[in-house]
Amino acid sequence: MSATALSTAMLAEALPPWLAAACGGDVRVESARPLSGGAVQENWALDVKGEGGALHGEHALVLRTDAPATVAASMGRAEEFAILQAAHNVGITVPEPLLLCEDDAVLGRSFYLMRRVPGVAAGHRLVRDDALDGEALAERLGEELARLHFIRPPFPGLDFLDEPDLAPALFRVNTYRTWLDEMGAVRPALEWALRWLERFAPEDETLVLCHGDYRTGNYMVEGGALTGILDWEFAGWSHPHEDLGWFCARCWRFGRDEREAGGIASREALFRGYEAASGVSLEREQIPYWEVMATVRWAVIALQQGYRHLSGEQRSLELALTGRMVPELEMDALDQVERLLGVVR
Amino acid sequence: MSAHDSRAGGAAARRTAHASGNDEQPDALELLAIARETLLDAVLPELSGAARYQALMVANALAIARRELCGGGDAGAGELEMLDTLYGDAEPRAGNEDDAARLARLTRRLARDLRNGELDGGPQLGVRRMLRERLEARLAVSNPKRLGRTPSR
Repeated sequence: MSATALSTAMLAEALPPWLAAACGGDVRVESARPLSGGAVQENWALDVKGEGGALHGEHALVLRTDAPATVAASMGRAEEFAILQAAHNVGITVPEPLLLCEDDAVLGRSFYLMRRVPGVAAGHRLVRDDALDGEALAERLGEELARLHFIRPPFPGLDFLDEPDLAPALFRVNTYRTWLDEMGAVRPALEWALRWLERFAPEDETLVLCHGDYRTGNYMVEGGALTGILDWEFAGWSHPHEDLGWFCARCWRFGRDEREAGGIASREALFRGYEAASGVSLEREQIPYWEVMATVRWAVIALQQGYRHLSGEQRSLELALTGRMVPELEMDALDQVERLLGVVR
Repeated sequence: MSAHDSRAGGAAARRTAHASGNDEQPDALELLAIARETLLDAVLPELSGAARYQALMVANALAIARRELCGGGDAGAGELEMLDTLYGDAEPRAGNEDDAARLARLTRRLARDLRNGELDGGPQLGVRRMLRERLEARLAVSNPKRLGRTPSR
């Protein structure tokens, strides 16, 4: 069966037999609607009702599967499910992972089910929510991140994650250059920034489980409280500062530049939570290097998204416009480095 | 304001019209401008949620396309001049090489030299200024707000 578009009717028909086999009892899909967000994955909100078996009663779930095309950095659903399980098992606030299906006969592609958590993830809404105690939320997000970073290789169930053969910073530089070359992209400003990142790469080879996309827009908030950290598809072994730099990078502040931690709080709030939960004292002057890395990473991924549209893999106005965001990200990278160099402009 | 703004870039519009041998009016720039105005003034107020977001993206795409047609593509001349200053002697122009081919070739060389560290030393300041000017020309098309400019509607 090829990967055709999912529909409510198809899910209501294809899922119950599989759910019954996996969980026992009788399971009905009461409703299924597509969720917005996730240019790479497709998410559906499901309400299911079980009679007997492990899914007895009413359950609010999310079905997550691959969209028609993927980007280079992104992993498959089975791997993402394993990471979600690892994070859940060490007590990170994530939607509880329930079931994985790798049998293409069911939906034509791999997918998994997790519990649906309530709340809002949309970055542009969170940064404009005046009732939100952003400092407390950022502190909590720092604590969560510190707990995630306790996971270090080797770790049971995560053998599929490759360990970089270089210091994490240099490994990233090489990866982004490879991605640029795969697209045949000629981007002098990105090359300039990557060269700077190469020359001043920290040699620290510490590896922890990084989320890889830890930022405003990828966590759910309900009534001011964190309800779930989402989108684990970019997780992997890397340096802990990478997640911290990504969270603080200007491109993820949704216009609230003065709130350096994800547009919701001071960066000190994030660091405070991280230090309290990890017992590590962060060397703050090392984070801006990873913020430059964050900008470059996002620029390369934005290029990939534009190419996905151009190649016809997935025609989308959003992807096309993301491709046209690259110059502003390149300008951000130049600004960031010049600020670090102390260039007066 | 929109009527006035929609005529900005009229000279470029006429150039485009001549280049394509098309003198029909209203021209492409005018059509893009009125399409966007109609979308924002008449369609958008009727929309909510995902459709509203999509419409705003369409409006943005129309604005970018219009700015590009207004001469955003002319950015190449300044770039080629800067690259010639950097590489002129080392990369003489091939006999049949036009400006576009030369710009593409020298930009590839610049990207390669930056990656390989050939430009790490002395010319850093000049290289950064050149990169900045390149990006400013592109941002004037894709996102003038980033340059602190107020885009026309």
